[in-house]
Amino acid sequence: MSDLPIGNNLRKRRFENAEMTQAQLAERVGITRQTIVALETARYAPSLELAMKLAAVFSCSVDELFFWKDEAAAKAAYELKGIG
Amino acid sequence: MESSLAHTLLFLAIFFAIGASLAVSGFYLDFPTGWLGAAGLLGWTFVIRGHWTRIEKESGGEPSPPARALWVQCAGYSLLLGHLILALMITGENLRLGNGNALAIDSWIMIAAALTTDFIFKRDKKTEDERDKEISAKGVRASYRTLIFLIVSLSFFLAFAPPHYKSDLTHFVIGNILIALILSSYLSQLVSRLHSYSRDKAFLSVEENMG
Repeated sequence: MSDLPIGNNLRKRRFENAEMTQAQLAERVGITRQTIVALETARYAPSLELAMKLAAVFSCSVDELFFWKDEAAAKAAYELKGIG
Repeated sequence: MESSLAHTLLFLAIFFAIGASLAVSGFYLDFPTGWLGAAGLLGWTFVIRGHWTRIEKESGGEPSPPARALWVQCAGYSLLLGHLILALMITGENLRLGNGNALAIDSWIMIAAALTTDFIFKRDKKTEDERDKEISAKGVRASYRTLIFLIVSLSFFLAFAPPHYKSDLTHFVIGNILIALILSSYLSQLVSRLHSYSRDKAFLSVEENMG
């Protein structure tokens, strides 16, 4: 479905929040419904600003909403090693 | 070729062919076909607008507002490009106003119709978000590359083609060819952007059904 290494819990959060529709969420954060669909199907990685807006809607932190699909590989690739 | 790209190019080709056939029939039948093109474009715009509104209510599989505006622009500018290229091929220097044919007036009438349809959808546009801007930037890059390629090709042709190929290329004709190149590069931007949006369709209806 997607080559993006980042996934998200948007769909799950929407349903936990009174089954909020994609359109309602899109309106809350000022984007199109199609962008919500692209986010939920992991075809688009949002800017930090949009990620923070989405997290604010669900009253959670950004990393509760977005996550590495393969955390071990991501850590191995990006973790700072041997500094200091 | 990916089916979504082929679908977009086919759409463009259909409107291009309609524009081209309007130019040919207008010239040989001595009939101002620009009015037909303008009426057809406006009619199609209202039909497709209604169709998308209906889909939005029924299944949620409609294109996003920016993508809808792009489809309408693609139709209008393909129509204009098809008309302009054929009109230039048929009449050349005689495309000017007052030279015994209505092709120049037809072209202006269709430009007015294309701008009107564009206006209708720009007025409709509710939201353009960061994803749309990213897609737009990609389209602008495609357009820029296409324009450079076309202008360099034209320059080489003007510089090195045998003189008898260039005998009809007056300043007026070259000016119109440059307009056709600009239109082509703009169309490449629209195709690139529509191609980026085209993957949405497969996911939209599924998502709504699950929602």
